[in-house]
Amino acid sequence: MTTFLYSLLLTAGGDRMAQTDPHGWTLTLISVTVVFSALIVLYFVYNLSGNIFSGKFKRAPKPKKKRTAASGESAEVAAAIALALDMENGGDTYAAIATAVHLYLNDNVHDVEPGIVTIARKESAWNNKALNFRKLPR
Amino acid sequence: MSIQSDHIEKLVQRRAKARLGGGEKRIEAQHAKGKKTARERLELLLDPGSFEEYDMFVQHRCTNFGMDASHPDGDGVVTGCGTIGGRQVYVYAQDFTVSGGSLSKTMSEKICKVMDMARRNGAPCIGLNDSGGARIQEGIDALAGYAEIFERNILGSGVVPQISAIMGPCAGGAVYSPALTDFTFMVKNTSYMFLTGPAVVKSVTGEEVSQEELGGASVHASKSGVCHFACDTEEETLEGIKALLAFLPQNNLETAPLVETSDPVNRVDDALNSIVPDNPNKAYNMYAVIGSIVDDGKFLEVHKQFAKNIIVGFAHMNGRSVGIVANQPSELAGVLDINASRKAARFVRFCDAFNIPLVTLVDVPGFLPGTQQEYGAIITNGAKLLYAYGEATVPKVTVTLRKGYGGAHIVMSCKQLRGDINYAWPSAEIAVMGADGAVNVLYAKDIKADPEHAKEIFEEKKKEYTDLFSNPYQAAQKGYIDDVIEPRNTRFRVIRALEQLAGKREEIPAKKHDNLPL
Repeated sequence: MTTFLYSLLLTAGGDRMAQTDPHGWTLTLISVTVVFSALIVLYFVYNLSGNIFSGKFKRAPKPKKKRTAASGESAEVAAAIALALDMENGGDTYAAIATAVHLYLNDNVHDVEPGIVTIARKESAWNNKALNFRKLPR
Repeated sequence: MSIQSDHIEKLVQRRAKARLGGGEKRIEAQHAKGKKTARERLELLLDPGSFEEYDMFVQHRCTNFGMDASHPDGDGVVTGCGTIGGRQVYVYAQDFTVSGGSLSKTMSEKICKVMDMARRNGAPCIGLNDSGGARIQEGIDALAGYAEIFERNILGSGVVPQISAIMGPCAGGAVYSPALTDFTFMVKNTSYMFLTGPAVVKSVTGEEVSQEELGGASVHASKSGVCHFACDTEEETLEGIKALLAFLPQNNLETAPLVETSDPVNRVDDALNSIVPDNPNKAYNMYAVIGSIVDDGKFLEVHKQFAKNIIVGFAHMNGRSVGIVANQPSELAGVLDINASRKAARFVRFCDAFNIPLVTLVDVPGFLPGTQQEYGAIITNGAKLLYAYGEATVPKVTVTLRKGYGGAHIVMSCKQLRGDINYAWPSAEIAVMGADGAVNVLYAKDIKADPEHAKEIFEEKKKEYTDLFSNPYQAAQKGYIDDVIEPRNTRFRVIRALEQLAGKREEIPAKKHDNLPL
């Protein structure tokens, strides 16, 4: 019974569609729209999952506040750390740690050298040691 | 037994007898004094199996005062050639078991032979001294023998390294041979050197003094500067000679051997950036700077106990042997005085003679003032160091760490004394004098005229002077300093400078010899 009613309904819908759109343009348009919409959704889904797995969406670290040798802030921070640690545990060790932190934070300005010696000298007549001798007067 | 075998047996017997020197009893007596025999010392000094003895059968020719009764083979000295660390050396060791090691004419001939061979073959000559002095029975012959040795010391000076070790008594004229050599080692408590002994001193001046107080190792190492290395034992002395030779070339035409090192040239030491105290009057230890910049922190100090306000010694930098001269701010603030000038001058001249580059670390506030210094000829003695640096043609790299004031700045290998590369740390103060002194001279009238505001005027002018002169940039602007370097980079910069200068050659005007202010 149910199957009969359902086929009747379909037949009735098909007849109506055949009457309003005898060439099937509407059906074609809907089908194409559905397919392309699905493709667009899939594109975004895969793109998003790809970025997640490749780590592109890691949160960028906050830019560090630039410290200079003249900066007094790091010294204050180190002093505060030392004070806090000292109050909490009361030890020279913590003071030493805080001093090291202070030095580390402040000791970041250096005159950078290449650190390689590229001279490859060989003994030759030029640096014959006898050439440095005092010449006898003639 | 064939005649040949008989000859060989006789040879073996004579050798064995000669090796006993003065006999077993005297060897025991020598051991009882805590001293070794000449051959035992050579055995410790030289590579095993390397010693070839010369003149083993030489005998004295003296017939006076019953000397003809005994003619021990080899007389009182063992001479020959061997190797130390595979490098050839000529040696002589006086044998105290034979007539107390007293010098005869034949002994001097044996010694002169190896000295001549050392000079001809370009190898160091090492003398182990243990002698009661001239053999009185030989009279003037013994004195002639000494003079011949001295002449060879002089001829060999600056040609081959000459090293003396005093391992027993060394008195009278005998002391001049060690004094003429480049380095003198002494053994504490068993060796002494003096021209006139305690008995003569008492009879002439009435002064009572023991042998050790008059001429012991400690005295000569700390007060007179005659001894360069004072060692506790004979073994330590002989090891010291070996250690020293590792820094020296065989002769004046060679360079010292390169040593393999694992210490990187670009090693930086951040501690150097903060080693100079903020207070210019506060001292710091120059040994820490030296230890930081040389290979593996190894430094062989010469004259360790003498004139401690200046440090001299040998080290390796990138495997290359260098002579270090450095003011020591923790001793007399690093001033130059008579002894410091003499000590450093002698060392600079040795390095120059034997192609060892000089690295000078400067922190000198000036010359020590006072009548004692002026009467003792600080002018002449300071001039020795000035002369030595000015004359030297070896590579000279200078680093001014802090103070470089006045004449002392000039003396310590400044640019105009043909310093090749002169660096300064940012903390350097290169000026005619310190700020306090300069303000007192320049503004004495102003300060005197306004006593109420004297302190303010002084402080204001001091700041002005400090800002203008108490830095390295005045000198750097004029090219007197080649570069201002970060302290932690000192090792790298000095090594690179030494590599740049490795091919240096510099001629000096023709002359018979110079007239060093002796």
